[in-house]
Amino acid sequence: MAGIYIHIPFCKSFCSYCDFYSITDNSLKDALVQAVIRESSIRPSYLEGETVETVYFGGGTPSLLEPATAAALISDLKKKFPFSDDPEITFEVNPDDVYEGLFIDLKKAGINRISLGVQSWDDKRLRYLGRRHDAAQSARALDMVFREGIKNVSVDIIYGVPGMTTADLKADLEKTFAFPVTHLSAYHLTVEEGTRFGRMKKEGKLKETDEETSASMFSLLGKVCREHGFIHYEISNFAKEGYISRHNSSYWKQVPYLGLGPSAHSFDGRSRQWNVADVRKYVKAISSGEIPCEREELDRITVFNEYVMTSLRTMWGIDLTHVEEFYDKELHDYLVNLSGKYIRYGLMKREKNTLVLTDQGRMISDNIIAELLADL
Amino acid sequence: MDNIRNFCIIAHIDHGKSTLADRLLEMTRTVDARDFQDQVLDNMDLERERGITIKSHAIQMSYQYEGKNYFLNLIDTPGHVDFSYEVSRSIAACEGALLVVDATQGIQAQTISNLYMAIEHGLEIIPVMNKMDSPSAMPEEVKDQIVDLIGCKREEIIEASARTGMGIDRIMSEIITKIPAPKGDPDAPLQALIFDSVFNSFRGIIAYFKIANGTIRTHELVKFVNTGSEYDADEIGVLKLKREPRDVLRAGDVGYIISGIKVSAEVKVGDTITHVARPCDRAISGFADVKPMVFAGIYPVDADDYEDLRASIEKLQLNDASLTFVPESSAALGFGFRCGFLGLLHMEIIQERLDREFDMDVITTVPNVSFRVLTTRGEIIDVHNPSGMPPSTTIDEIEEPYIHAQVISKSEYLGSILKLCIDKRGTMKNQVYLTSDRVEVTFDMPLSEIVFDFYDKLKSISKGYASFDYHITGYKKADLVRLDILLNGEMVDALSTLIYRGHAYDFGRRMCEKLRELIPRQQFDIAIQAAIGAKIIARETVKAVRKDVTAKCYGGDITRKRKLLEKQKKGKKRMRQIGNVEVPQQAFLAVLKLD
Repeated sequence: MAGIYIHIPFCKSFCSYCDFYSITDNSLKDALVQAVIRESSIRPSYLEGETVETVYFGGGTPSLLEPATAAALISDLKKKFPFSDDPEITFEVNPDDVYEGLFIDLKKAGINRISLGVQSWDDKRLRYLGRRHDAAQSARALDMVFREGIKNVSVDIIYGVPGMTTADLKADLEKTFAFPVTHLSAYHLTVEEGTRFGRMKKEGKLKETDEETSASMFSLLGKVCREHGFIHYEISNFAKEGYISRHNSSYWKQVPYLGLGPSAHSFDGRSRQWNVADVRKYVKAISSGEIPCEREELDRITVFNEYVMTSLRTMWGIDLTHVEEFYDKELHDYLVNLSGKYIRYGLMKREKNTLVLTDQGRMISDNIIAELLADL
Repeated sequence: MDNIRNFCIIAHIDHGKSTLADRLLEMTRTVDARDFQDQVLDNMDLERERGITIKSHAIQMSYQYEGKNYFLNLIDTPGHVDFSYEVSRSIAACEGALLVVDATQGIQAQTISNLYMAIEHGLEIIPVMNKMDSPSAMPEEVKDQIVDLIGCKREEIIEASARTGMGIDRIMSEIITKIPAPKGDPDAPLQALIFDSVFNSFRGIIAYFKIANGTIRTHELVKFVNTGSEYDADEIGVLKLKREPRDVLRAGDVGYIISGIKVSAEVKVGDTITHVARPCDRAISGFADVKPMVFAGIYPVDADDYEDLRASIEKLQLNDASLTFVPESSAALGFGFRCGFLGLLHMEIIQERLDREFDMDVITTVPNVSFRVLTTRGEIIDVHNPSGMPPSTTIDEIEEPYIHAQVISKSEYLGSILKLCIDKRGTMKNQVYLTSDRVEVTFDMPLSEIVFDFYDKLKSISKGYASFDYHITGYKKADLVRLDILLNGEMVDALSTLIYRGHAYDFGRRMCEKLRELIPRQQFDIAIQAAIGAKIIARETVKAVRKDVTAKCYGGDITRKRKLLEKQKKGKKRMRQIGNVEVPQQAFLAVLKLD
């Protein structure tokens, strides 16, 4: 089992909150696509023959690619890697890039899952977030995607934006669920350095949402999603039965993945690599047959810590049997001992042989995970 | 003997004592200008940085004056309030003193108390007004102060600048012409005053002395009168920049003795050295066995470092006999040591030396003074730790140490200073205007009151102008209670204090408030309570963390996220687990920084 991520690092403009790598200069698009194809040729054995179950086009803005280009990329990957019969192939789309027939073409290209960057249904907030689209465009895009035959559709929502209330969040959720979406990624705003919001924060022009409001938004989010039949399967992710994102879940289950494109990350179970976050450098290095990446070797404890960190964020939690079999008895006992206090405080549940955070525990998951990390 | 001059320098911190000493060493070519390191006498890094000489030293200079060669022994004195006894012994070894006053600052409390000590010992005082090159010098005003203080003539005050060299010639000539040569009978039985000692890792303890009477030769059998121990004088000599061995030293000489002593506690400052064969009738007067007055627990942050901590404290003790320690354990902090210090600053210095010289990460607990408990059975117990207090039913009376405190300040701050001292249970003894706008006040005060936040407050209310000095006067009856701090119902022994009953409520409330600031929010609410016995007198709550969660954690976020969490974990590790509560190190010293 394995996944492939392709980073399309182009945007028409920068959003105020986003710190993913992208540039607004579109002229290198063709060179980039060629380089991505070349990169996969250089690293054909990275996934060690594992069957590819998922492909994810992320960005940046993948919807700046022609569907034909996406088709070419997919068929190229299928020639180089063994694919399963029903791979999940996701494509991120910005509402303002949508036109009649787009999803038909994407579907033909092999794409069967769309992640639509709605972010908010409030035009004023959309402008504050630095988005180019408005709510009407989101509605049109959602109408179109279902009409053009893609069933598996995820919507991104941002909450905890300065000035936003729980009522605002509720409105955003209700408007989203008015469409037959199958998946919701709802992210609390994180103010990152190097973004417009980051600069505003430094200058004292942005006051982050207070903890109480954030906490009540988080519980409201869980409640509304449950009411609409969504499973809260990860801190920020909700899905209808059968529509849990297979690609994202693989990140949290330590499935190997190959990341293609500038700033893309790869993981092979023992090490992580990340490509240079610079289109020109990336294209240049690839054209001379090199992978411009940094690399981190993970020792056993680090892999364990990453497992604790990612699995506790999910509804599957820590599988103690896996810990004992894959790691050792000592780490198993370590977790069982430490978990006692969280269970007493109502922050964690022990279900058969798994440790899972409760809703209350999820809200302070960083605090708990930090304590559970084993010493190097 | 008539070509010897023994003198010290009396000066407030930063008034230029060290720089002046440097100039004298330069002038007499005791130190080569080539390898001259500024402020040669302060040879610990820490001292140089803080600008205070923690332990005294001595150095001999040779100087030609009117065709005759003189030996000038400069005996350095420790420059801070916790070491007043050591200062008195250094002064007792001298016949004269340079009174150095900063022309920009005027006279300070410590200068005055040391000056009084020098006058008491009959020292010839040479007044020097330093920093005359500074544009902010106020020579006339400062001269008034000096004249008032020692009754000299204005023209007797030497205008100097240790920085530029101004006045140094005159200082040299007056040291020779004004300070009397030491008196003493070289043929009388040996009487030498120990005024300091240092530890040398190869030679053991080196004692510094001044011979009042008699003569000492290498390999003679000598006795330290107060400790009663006998030693062979393996090596004696004089103190230049390095030690220079001599076969004989006579009355009036200042020198050192190495006699195979390994433990600093055997060499007591103020003790008298005499011959075993022909002992003196009595010791030089003024000896006191100085006992530490402030106690605090010192614990390793990492319990595995306990033995390393012991070794480090032992090493510190080798050249600081006033530091004491005994093992103790705390439910909150594990195994550590109860350490005794001369005062609060001494404690800070030790803490800092542990950190800098030994790289020890330690937690220091709330300090307390040494209490004396009279039991109903008529015993007297010294109590150095709140948990060492016997059951209240067996206590007849508790006594606490008192000090004579002296504050000098600009008169505009007098009101606030008086209020502070009275709040601190002080009784005013005297108030003297040194000049029209400088006033000296003296108080009787419990020592325990200056252990907590006295210096900082004095500094802030006087905008840094007030200077302070004290010495211990004795014990007085005290009305004390034990104040405990509880975290989620669990008592934290390391935060218990013995405190004056009248201050307990206010203190408990402020402790709780301060701890609420210092204890980070955790996964549950934390109740902080102050209690006297079973009675809760104050309470604060640290609310639980409501939200601590990262929104995104995908392929690219995992490494970065993991590193952030590892950092968060490290932060948690530096804290102490008390019951289920994590307490940061600085909380244990919270009590010292109450607003």
